[in-house]
Amino acid sequence: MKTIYALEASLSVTQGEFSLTCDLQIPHGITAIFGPSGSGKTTLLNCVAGFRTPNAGLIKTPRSIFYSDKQSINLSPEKRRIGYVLQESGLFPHLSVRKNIEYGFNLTPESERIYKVDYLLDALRLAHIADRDPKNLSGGERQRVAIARSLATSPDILLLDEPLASLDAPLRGVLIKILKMVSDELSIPMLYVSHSLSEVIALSDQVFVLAEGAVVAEGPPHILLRSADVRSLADYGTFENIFQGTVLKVDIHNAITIVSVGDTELTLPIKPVTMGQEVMVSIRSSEVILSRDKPNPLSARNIVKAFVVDMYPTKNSIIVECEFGARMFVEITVDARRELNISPSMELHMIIKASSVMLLTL
Amino acid sequence: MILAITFLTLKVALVATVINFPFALLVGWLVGRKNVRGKIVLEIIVSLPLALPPVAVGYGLLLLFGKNGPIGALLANAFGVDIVFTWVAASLAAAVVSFPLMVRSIIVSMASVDDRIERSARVLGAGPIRTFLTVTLPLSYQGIVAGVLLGYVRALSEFGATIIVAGNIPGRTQTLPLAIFGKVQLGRNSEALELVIVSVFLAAVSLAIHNWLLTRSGNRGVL
Repeated sequence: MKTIYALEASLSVTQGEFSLTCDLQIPHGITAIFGPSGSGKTTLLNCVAGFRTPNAGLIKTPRSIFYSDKQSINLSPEKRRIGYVLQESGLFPHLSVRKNIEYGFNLTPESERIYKVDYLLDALRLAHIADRDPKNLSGGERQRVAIARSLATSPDILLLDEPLASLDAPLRGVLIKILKMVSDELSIPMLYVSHSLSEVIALSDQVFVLAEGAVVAEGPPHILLRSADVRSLADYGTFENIFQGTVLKVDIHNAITIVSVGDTELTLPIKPVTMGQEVMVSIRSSEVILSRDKPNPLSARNIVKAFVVDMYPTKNSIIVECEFGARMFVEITVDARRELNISPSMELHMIIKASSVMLLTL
Repeated sequence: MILAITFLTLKVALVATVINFPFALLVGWLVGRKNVRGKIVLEIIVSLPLALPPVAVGYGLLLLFGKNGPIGALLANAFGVDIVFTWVAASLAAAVVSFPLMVRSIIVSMASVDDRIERSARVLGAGPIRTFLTVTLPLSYQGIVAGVLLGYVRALSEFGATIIVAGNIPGRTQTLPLAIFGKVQLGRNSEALELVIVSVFLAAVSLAIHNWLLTRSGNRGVL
């Protein structure tokens, strides 16, 4: 059976010295375009959105052909039925939150409207600020409004240009959760542009790696670490492992929160959450200690058994991929790896301080 | 007498402003929002009357709209009208001279509208015209209002071009500035002063409305 893609884009664009050539089959779910700045990510999105005309190619969804040089088709942006969430949300400053969301809703034919404005206000937790002006919103709220506004047109695909780049860590976690919710519950395919490795790994089902105007790798997000070409593009200094988990216990007595992640339970400092709440947690790859033997009682609260899936050398360090019901990427030095003699399928213990487990909530 | 002169002045300036407005919006949009070729040339042409002596502008209009001028001959043949030395010519002169003030203010405000906001409107389903009406226009509202009123105030006080192309005919083309000039020439100083006071009043009211509109829209400013 032939796979039905959410979007097919084979195109070439040239402008001055820069040129972009790619042939992408974007599946349903969340697809990331990963690459350093200047690799052509935004150009690609603009071609799909209709703000940039390729020199040649074919861009189409199952429903319509956006662009085809052979058939002389070039739909204007308003006819493409896409959502486009820009880097700096691009909200209408002269309209309230509700009016911003209603704008596209009112322009959508009645028979095509799937999500009511009030439903979107609730789903993206905007009901309490529906009457505010965009200038009185926080960065995270603005991005949520921008997403709600795009969804109000019931788009066939949602394009996102670094929607998390301007947000700090806790808000990023909230937005990642929201985007996953949009993908899972509303099943709207997403094409997401990012230069952050941790975001791509946390969020996407599929990734295309773009470098200097060409796709250099594609596959599930973990290929980002497996391919040496990609590793040379990525910045590991700030790599965060982001997990979805459930709050199991809020222990006021000991001032700790316990969250289940993968097959294990993580202890972190007490946070204003409630039992059963779904949360995102983040652990920096450089803040995890690996040990061959189970250590004696330690002040670090989390000792998690895991086994080594693979290892990836970067310029100055080794990234160890550990499986514990979820995947943790741990950055260690080259001589630490040698001394511990770490090799694939070996069992070891990850040691994580409670305070190194960041809860990403508002 | 004063009332008739004042009324004529307001009418001439209003018609000049109404004639200018659509062109000023179009030029403002072309220069401020679009990457049209020859943008700089267009900007210079529309600003030229600001830099030229109004008398020179008036003479130019006379050459164009006079009986033997290209446009004047055309109007005479097609409609049998001759606008030179009528209040229409006064409006035309006021329009040309006040156009740069109106258009420059509109250009600046339209250029400051964030491209991403317009793009958002497009992907949300708005065509170019709807985007212009619902996004570009409201976001450059302040500059447009400022430009229109500035142009209007300039049209009220137009003298040099008007006297060449419309003359100084009491009851027909004599606006406030022209009447003041006439009174001063005849040495009727107290009458001249009365007209000056009316002029000050009109200018002050227009500027007050201008400021009021700007502060009123200030709380819905651009992000």
